[in-house]
Amino acid sequence: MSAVEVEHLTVAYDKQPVLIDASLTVEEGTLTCVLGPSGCGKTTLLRAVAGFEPARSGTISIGGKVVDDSSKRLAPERRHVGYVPQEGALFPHLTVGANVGFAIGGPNRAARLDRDRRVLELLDLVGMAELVDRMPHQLSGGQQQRVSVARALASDPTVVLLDEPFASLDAALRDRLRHDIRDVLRAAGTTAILVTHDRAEALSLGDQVAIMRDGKIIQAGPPRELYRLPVDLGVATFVGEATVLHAVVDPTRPTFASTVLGEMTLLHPAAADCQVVVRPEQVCVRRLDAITTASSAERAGGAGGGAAAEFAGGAAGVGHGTVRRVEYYGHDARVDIDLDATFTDVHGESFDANDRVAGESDERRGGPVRVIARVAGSQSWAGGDRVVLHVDSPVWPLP
Amino acid sequence: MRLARRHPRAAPPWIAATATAIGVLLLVPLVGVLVEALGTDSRTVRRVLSGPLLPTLLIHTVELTAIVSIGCGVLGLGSAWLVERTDLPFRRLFAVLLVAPLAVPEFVASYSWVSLAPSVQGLWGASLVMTLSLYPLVFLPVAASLRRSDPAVDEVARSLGVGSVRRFCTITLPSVSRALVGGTLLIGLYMLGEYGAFALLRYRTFATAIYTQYKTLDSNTASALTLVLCLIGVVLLMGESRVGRRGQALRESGRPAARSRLGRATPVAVIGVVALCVLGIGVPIGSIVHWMVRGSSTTLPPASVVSTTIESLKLGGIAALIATLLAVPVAVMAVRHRSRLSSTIERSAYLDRALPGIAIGLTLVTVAVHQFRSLYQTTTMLEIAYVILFFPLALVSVRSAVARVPVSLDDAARALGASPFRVLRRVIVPLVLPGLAAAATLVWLSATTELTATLLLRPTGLKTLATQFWVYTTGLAYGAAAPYAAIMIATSMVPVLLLFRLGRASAGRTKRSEAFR
Amino acid sequence: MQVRNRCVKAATAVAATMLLAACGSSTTTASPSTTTASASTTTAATASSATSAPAVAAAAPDGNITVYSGQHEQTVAALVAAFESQAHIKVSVRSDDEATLANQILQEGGSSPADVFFGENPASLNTLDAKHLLATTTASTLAAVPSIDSPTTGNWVGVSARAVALVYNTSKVKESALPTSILDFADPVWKGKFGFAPGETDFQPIVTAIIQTNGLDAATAWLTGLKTNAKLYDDNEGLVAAVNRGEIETGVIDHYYWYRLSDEVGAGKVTSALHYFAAGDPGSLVDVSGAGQLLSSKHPGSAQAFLAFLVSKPAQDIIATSESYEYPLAAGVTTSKPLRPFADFGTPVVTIAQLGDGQQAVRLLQQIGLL
Repeated sequence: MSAVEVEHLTVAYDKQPVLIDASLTVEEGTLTCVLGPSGCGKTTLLRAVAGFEPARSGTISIGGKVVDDSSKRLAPERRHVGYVPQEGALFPHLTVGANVGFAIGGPNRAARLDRDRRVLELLDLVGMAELVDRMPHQLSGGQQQRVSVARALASDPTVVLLDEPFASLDAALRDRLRHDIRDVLRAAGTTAILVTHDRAEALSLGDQVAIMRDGKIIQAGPPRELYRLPVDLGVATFVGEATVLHAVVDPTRPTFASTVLGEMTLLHPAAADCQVVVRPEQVCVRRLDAITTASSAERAGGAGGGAAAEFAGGAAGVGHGTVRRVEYYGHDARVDIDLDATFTDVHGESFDANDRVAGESDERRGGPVRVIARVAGSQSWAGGDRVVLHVDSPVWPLP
Repeated sequence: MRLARRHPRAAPPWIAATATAIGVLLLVPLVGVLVEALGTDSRTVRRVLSGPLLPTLLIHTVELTAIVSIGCGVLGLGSAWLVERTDLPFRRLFAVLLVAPLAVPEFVASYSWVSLAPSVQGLWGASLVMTLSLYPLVFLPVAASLRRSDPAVDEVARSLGVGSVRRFCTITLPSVSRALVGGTLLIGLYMLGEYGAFALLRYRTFATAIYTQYKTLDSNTASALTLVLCLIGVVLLMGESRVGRRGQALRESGRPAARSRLGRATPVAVIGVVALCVLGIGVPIGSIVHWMVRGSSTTLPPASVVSTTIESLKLGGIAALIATLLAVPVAVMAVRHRSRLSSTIERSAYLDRALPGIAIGLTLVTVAVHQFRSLYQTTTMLEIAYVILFFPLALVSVRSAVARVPVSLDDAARALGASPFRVLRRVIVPLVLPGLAAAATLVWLSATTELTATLLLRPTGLKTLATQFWVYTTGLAYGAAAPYAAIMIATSMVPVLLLFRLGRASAGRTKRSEAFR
Repeated sequence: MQVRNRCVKAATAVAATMLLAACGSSTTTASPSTTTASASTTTAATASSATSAPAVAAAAPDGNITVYSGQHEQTVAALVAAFESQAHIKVSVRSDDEATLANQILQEGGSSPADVFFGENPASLNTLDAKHLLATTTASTLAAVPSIDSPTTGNWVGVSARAVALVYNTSKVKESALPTSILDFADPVWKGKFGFAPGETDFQPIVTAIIQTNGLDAATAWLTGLKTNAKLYDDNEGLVAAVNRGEIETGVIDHYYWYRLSDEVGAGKVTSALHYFAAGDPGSLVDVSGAGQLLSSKHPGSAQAFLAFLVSKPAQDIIATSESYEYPLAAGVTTSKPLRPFADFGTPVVTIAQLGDGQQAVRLLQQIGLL
């Protein structure tokens, strides 16, 4: 049984729809990340599930029960959800313990003892047990978020909803906290929906990731599937760095495509000309001088194509280019390479790169084709280096 | 499982119902005046509208309201800035003294001025006295805003080389504009309905003319004039909603702003503030002391003065409690569930303030006599009148306190299974407690010294400090009246000090709640 | 923290000083007795057998009463205390402006809690009478005062009288320079030197008197003249004080305001005096304060007993010696205060019937823009 089922949900503010025909299924015990740029409607989706926004059309079910059928709805306090707002929203007048125990009722002494035990359990889970008597203003931002999560878990909710819970924290703290929180949610066996604009957060945390754009859910699935098999260019570039190349497909060989980087294998047969998504880690790149030290005779001959062919070993497409920019990250570096304007591929066919490309963005149209690659951080790269490159694995075609 | 049709952002039914009931109560005087005015034959209305007095009254009322509103705005803003944002010496003491004029009922203040300096009268006299006794209504909210507003913006401007004058105009002023406009509006409405002070200061406004008509037993003319006054009030409210909406929301911060150094301007600033304190509180106290020493009728107040004092404080206290409690649902509705209904309720509360006390009082007499006979001339009726009269004071404080509680707290609490009532009780009310206390204090202050409605609606035989003061001053026994005025001021100092401390407390609370953001 | 404590202390000290001053500066006593102080447990039956004034015995008491009083509060308190001990009827007094109380009774209509209305001027009483809200006063009560001091309807009874007078500042004007007729103040020579309170219920009877004796046109001309000449005050309390301190040379008031002010300022420190207009002039008007029983009263017996008491000798003696400075009306009682002899006012310039409800005067004042 799915914990949350959103079907054809439309939400509007003053007739202006902010969420359009959204459908999403969240399986019990899993963490779904809703990923999208700001203003895409992801927070509205979360608030609609929580009950703070009414459905204009469509239905929302939690734990198999319809909570909003767009004419009647269940009040937020009766939906049995846990809610963690962006900045924690701890009650400033209550201690950490009282915040966590807010949802746990009980008139008599036994119930109170029970509650105290439960509060400590939850605080222990988030590693905050020793701060039970503190006031919220005495906590750091990260500690407040931990308490907020513990508070949301207190009532054993069917689903915990987290609205950009780590957005206001610094990077190091964010990384640690997000994985701690995931572990807490896993340990509690809780279903959760987390809204974020951070793709690394979404891909690393989510059992399922839903991509939203302009009020619509574009694609939902496991992170790996989204990354490898995006439904459109927008998703492809949003979930990770990508080079998009124009590809010519011969209908008789639907699993192969010709591009400026030569022929590539497709993950899925294409019926006609299409575009292919090349991830940086699929691009093998070497500096020309590194190759040619071994065969200086050929370098004297001048034809780069020969050297490239030798480097690529004829396995896949190949191209030449110049390094334009290097971003060094320590463990690796991102290298942006401008392909040479015209060249001859391994089959001797001549390409004009400018006609062939729908690159990473429109502004590059008319300029040289830019390919993004990742190289090991141990190598030293610099702008102006001449390189030869090819793609070493099957690529994903998009119409 | 119960599914409801209600919009989740719509006000919970009990809040909407309570707020509406309060709205109906607040509408009673307005409807009463309307009915009375519509019942007047059209000849009277035409005679009043074309009479020689109307233009005079219009000009007087508008002039006075404008001068006093602007005067209070300038004094309130200036003194708040000096106390909160500069290194003014003795600023904590001044902060108390600057609020103190609230403890002096207007009719006492104007009486003191008239007896001290007979030339204080007419437009400028009335403006002076009213400005001096009402500016704390601007000082209080503006000082609170200044205490809370984020100094970062000011610091950025400073780093950009913007001078202090321009910074004051472009940054400080807009950041307190809501408090400023709110306070000034309240004063403007107050001015429309004020009678006693203007009578003493010999300045004829709509309110005094309405009283005079009632005095000559011409209630038709009186209600026609009241209707015109209502319309002026509506215009004022419409103006406020336009200006008020433009005001920026306050960026709050827990960090205190760096104080500007007054430097060589310090003596001037100190002299200015001292002068304000002397004029605002020194003159009334001095004049009362003078009469107690000089007046032949001066006498030890009878033993009943203790019970009279207790009675006054009790009446005011109950009114304060009720008005504040009732202001909570209205404020929650106005802040959290804005709708046409909520703004109608708010407006009618403010509009009541513009009606002269006698119009409200007589309307309540009519309603009580004919509809609720058992309530007539009971303390219950009197309390209801106080609540109607002073509801705006409570609403202003409670509303701004509620507006400062982040909505995310409501959401978090509701998601945790708390019903809207529980959210109110466990989250909003504890957080707005200083605001509630400030509201109650303001109402208490005003109700304890109320005169007109008290005379009209009190149970026969009930005495308050204000009615006793009135009894003696109308008998020209100023010496005998003085102790009552002194007790009124002395007992009012307690709420005033409370008000001062609450302002600090609520700022402290914000600082703490700010830290978690 | 210390600074705050200090300023709290300072403010507390101010308040404390004021309280001490309030308690320490006692001189004479003018303390009002409490009006709610009830009669003892003695039953009402003893009242009839008591050797009280015959008027009180004439009406059978039928319960406690409520009096709406626009009269001088301390005097009324003294009257009520005397009545309560004599008649064993408890009286609750509601004090307010005469006009406010009259308005209140008009609003209350037949369900007024009041049994008796005790007014200051004929206009308010006549207004209630015209609306049929007053009951006929017992004949013996009416007979206790001169018939010209009660209305011909007999629905209220005159209790005391006040006279129109001119108050003038003795350091600014000589009495010899003052006119004998109130009509003279319309003359431009008085421009800026004359004050009056057009809204006072005490002023309208003067206008009515002028309309009655000199005609509407004369009254209109007079008021028009006053409008350009005179300084307007809101009430006579303010006017008499303004004349005394020299803010304005003269002002028209009822005589007792000046006496009450003199009491307050202290003899020897007064810088003003009273001047009376010639007999027969509308300015020599003597105004009657009276009381009437409300038709809706549930205790007409007690109410009539109270009215009878008001014109009885004990009550008239209280008025004659009280700080209200009004003239008693009953035969054989004269004021003990140093007032102008009552007889000097001569025959009344207008009758109570002529004074009516005063609305004609109000209309005229409104028309000219004085109200």
